[in-house]
Amino acid sequence: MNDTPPDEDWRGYWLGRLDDDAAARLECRLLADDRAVDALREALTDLHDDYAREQLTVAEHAAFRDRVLRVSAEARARQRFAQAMKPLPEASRRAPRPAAAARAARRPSWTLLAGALIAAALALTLSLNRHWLAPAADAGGAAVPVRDAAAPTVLLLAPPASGPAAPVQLALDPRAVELRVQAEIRPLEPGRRYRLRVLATAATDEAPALFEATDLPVQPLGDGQFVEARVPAPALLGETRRLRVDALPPAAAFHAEWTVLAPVSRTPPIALPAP
Amino acid sequence: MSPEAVARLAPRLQALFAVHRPPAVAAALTAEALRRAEALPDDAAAEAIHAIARALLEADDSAPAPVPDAELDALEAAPDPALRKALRLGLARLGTDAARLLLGYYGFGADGGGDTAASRQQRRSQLAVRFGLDPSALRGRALALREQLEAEVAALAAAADPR
Repeated sequence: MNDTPPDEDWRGYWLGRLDDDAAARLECRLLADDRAVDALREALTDLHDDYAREQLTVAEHAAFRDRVLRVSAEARARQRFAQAMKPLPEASRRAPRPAAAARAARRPSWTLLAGALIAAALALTLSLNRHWLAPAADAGGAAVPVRDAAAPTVLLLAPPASGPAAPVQLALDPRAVELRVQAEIRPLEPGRRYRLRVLATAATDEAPALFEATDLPVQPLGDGQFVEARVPAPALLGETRRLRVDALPPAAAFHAEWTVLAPVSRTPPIALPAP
Repeated sequence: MSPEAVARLAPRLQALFAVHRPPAVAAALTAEALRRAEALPDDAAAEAIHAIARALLEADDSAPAPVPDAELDALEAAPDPALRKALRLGLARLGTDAARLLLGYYGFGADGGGDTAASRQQRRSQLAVRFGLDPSALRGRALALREQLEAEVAALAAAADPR
């Protein structure tokens, strides 16, 4: 995220790494340009998050603690927020430790995630057999949305009234077993239920689906109404797919569609914080 | 200095003073700095205004007393469950689009936050493309949403606190 000139070290400014002249230059920049104000605020927010995630060096940790947290009640309140935003591993109560040692121990969060995904895969074996790459005629049964923060969540907003939705690019972890796909329904017809299908790009609307979940109820989420289905990651990973939602019965007028691109990537997808 | 120039300068001065002082003191220093800068032309050099701001900071002796280590150590303990509950409520109230932008921008993924500076920059660039915004606009929106959520969560947590 860099429209900031490379000589603007706002992070260094907060941590007291700049000499007086460099700090004065940055402060003058602050007084001349609103983008510098945003860069300053962003550097501080990122420091709060890095502190919470134990991703600061020992020196940075000490500097942030002494220069910001120790002298500002507002900063301490923001730090509590940053700590709360951090997804919580099960073994969460630990004494503060130097950041260098903490970095070496950071990887257990991947182990916990891998364990959760394996457990989810075992629990869903029957469902996978039924839905994974099965022709639409054999697929069926409702995918009951459950609140399980282990599966990454993909939010698909309703396409615009005129024209198709912009393609949605997902950064899927290749180790992901399944995704919670939440597709917005707008306009909403009370009482309707919906079908969600994953189709190959070139397939017709009624071609056999790579994945299908049917009889989906609408659920509120924030200020929108969504249907949710658990889509096996292989149905999406590495390919361009059409993800289509139809109102039931199939003859009903409503449908919405997204083009989903999911190249293989190590960047985890967006997900809501764990409970 | 014209009212328009004052309106542009005020939030920038507030941001500068807020680095060094609590919000209320920063607001008072901002007001005083603007009063002193009244006689400057609209296109006054930033250095002139900076000199006023620096003089006010050096003369101000209201810096808050530092808190002890124990209070800072408590920040690194597991978060309050009530705060996390308030956070989930606050995210839901933001709306899906806003929550999606916020969580994506700040990298609150399911992996526990394995963010680096490089991956953060890449993720934000991709997000700007996905949302069809230029990087500055996306940054501004993410910052505003985060402030809104922080305020919402603080209010929810305070309302739930029986003390």
